[in-house]
Amino acid sequence: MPETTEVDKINVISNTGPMVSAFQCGRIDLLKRYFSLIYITPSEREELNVHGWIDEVNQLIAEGFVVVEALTDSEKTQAEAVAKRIAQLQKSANSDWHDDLAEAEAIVLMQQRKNLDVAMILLDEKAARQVARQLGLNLTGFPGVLGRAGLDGVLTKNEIRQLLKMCQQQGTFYSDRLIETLAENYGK
Amino acid sequence: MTKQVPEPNAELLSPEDVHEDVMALTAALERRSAERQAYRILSRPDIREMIKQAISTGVCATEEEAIARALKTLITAIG
Repeated sequence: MPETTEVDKINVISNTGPMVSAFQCGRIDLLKRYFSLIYITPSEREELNVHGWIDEVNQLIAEGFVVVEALTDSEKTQAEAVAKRIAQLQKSANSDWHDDLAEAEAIVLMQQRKNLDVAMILLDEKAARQVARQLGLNLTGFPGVLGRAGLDGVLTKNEIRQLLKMCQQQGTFYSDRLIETLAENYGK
Repeated sequence: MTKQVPEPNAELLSPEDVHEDVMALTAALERRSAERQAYRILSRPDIREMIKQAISTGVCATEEEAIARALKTLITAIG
């Protein structure tokens, strides 16, 4: 099994969803295994605050593992356009694009800040992922991290199942089929 | 404070997306690993000098060609 060492880690930008999943199942260590740094935007930090995760994210900021990167006015304008694109792709007819601003800002940060040396963006929401793909961004999600950990021999099939079920029970809607697919294909 | 999911009704990635996600993460990690290894080797003065010599004598046109030909020569020699 390949072992990922310190030097192989990458910088990423994360939307709130993958971070919340890692908090829900208590496995921030899996993010630390593959990522040297996670960038988030102030809107994402606020979203995490509003939904009760501020202590957890502040701890990671204090450790230097999470860095909050503010957008310029021009980037904020671009993020509004991206948020509207994401809202249009959602099934719900009454989608409010303001609800998609956090992921849109993460997408714009990835597009615009080549100096951050970011290799990927972490996104779990289908519509935001679709827009990120259309923009040519390299992406993965929290289940992808668990899958890689399974390949590395760090997680068993049952552990993958249990971790995603924990997220599911706390309101993150990973489907049963996704959980089984991931556990069976990638768990050791 | 009660902990919640920011958008509980948002449709998330599908089982089909998961394979692409694992492969994409794996590729990004492998690329970073390759970059670091290449940097380590190419920053060695003896290696740089040999590459420079191969190019200045006209044996190879570029650094990439010098490395590729050196490896081919090695494989031929041990084969």
